[in-house]
Amino acid sequence: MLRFKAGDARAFEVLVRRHRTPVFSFLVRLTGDRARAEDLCQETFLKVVKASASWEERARFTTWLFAIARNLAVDEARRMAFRRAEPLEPADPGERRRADPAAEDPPPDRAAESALIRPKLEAALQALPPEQREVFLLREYGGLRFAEIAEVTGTPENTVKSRMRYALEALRAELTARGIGPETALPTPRSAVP
Amino acid sequence: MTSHDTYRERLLDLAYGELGRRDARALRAHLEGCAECRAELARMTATRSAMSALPPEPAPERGEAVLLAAAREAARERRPKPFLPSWVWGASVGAVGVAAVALLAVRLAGTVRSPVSQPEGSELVSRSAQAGEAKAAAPAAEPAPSAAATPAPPPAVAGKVTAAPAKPVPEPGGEAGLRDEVEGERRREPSGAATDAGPLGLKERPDRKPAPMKRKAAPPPGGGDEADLIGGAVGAPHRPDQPDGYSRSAGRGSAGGAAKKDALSANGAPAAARSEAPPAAEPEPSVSAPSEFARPPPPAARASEGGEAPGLEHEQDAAAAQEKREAPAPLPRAGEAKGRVARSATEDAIARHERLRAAGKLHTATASFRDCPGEASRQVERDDEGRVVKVTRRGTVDGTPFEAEQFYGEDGLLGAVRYRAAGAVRELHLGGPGAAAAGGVPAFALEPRHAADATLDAPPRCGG
Repeated sequence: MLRFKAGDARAFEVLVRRHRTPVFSFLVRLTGDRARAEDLCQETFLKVVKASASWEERARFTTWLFAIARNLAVDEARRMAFRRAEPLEPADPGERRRADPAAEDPPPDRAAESALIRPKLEAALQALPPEQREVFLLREYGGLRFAEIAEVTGTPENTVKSRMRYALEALRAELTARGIGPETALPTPRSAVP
Repeated sequence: MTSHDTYRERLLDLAYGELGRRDARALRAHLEGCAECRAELARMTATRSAMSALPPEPAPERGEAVLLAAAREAARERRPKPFLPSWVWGASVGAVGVAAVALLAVRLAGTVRSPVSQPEGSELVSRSAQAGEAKAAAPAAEPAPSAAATPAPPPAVAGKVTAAPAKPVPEPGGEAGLRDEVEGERRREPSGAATDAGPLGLKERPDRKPAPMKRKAAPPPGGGDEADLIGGAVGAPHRPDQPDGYSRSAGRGSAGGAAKKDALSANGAPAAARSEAPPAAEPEPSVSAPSEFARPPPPAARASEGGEAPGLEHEQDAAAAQEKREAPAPLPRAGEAKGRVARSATEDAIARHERLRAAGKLHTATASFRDCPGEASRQVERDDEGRVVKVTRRGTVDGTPFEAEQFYGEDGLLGAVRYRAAGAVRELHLGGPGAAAAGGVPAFALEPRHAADATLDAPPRCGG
């Protein structure tokens, strides 16, 4: 980033090649909308270009980058929520499950499992409340530490960790409900309430 | 003693490797005897493992080119600016413009003047050729001053001259000397002293002292002594009684009296004329441009780079070009300047671009074209009103990379073209007397003639 700031365009090319897919993955799974994620990803990197002149090495570049991506997504979600006057997530999780064909499919046989498992994982992820989903995605796909996630989301680190615990528990419950995971036999010690 | 709840709180840190070594060891010890914590850690790990089957979503390729183009644009704007401010460049260009105009005047004098001046005129023709030779030899000596820290403007006349004594050129005539003499000629006319020095002062030239003080008699603000320093640095001591610096090139070949020039400078007329050169243009000793691609070297230098002697046609083009560039020079000029500008009113496309660029009034946009060797990329610079000022086209012709800079004038017509290929630079000014002698500028670089056809979204010219 410092090289790009100094006028080396190739350095930015390296940054784009390295971070574009993680950022795009994060945005796709955060928004659940590929086209929006594409726009947001472009916007994120264009913001990096624009802001690079004043960039200072106060935090990891990755943290800064995901903060930009996340804030853009949050702002856009707010705008969309305002326009549509409806929540981003269906209020009733049962309704969401009914809308998800993968959730009601009969258990797949072994051969089809690998092809079907991905939509189920996606569905489980989308079933998470947004604040848990963003923490999970920033940790798992962004590679940010909990302290960095706290910085990106403007949330205390303990809250971030709590959300992560709830996210893991909720995911486990979702996966179990969809017939995935060897740990289905394990008991759930407490409910996943954020 | 750490409680069970505290250990449980740390399970997440352990699962994600964020726990310190000591704490991790303690927690693992707790796990040995705590089935509840073991089970919770196992659930965390299993969930992560299951979710890791979700692969990253590859970002679509299509947006990447836009991002990289934006980055290149930003990086270009951010690259370190030239050491000298743009007005110094402009002023330097103006200085060479003065000299180039002098050449033009000499040529005109050779054809128009009275029979008295005829011999000098013919002598000039031969001297012009000598000037080309001298230029061709110049690079041997010039790298020394240009190796200095200052990326000096290429066209600084005085710098060229000051570098000259370091090289053993027996030939007293050189382009700089020629220019100086013509300067002298032009100055004498308004002062009425022309009859004292002869029509062009050519005969006196070999006898002149290498006095470097062009500005000594009337030093421009803030730079007068610098010329002296340069002169001293190259071993040409300043003589207070010889303030005329136009004979410096003569000093290369022979030292001698400068009686005529002294008389010229003593009459006071040249004082105003000397201030023609912008103050920062003269003192820079490093003249030979270190980067020819970044800045066009003076026409003569380009000719020498290209291995060709500057013919008169070429010189005339160059003169017209340089006098265009001096138009925006900040210093007020004598009445003759107006005449020059008016004379070259159709050729100021480069000057127009320089002026707008220096004022930061240009807006650049770039397009690239795939599978289009004749125009792989196009950069369009527009002014505030959206009019195309310059188009830079890059591509290959017969496998040879080229760059064509096309300058459009106020009238929307192509005014000048600077063409680079195979290490040579050609400059062509349209509408001038030398326009017919394209001098290595291919015909395709002269299209489009109209700025309206040179927009960013105009079809690429792939065929060259």
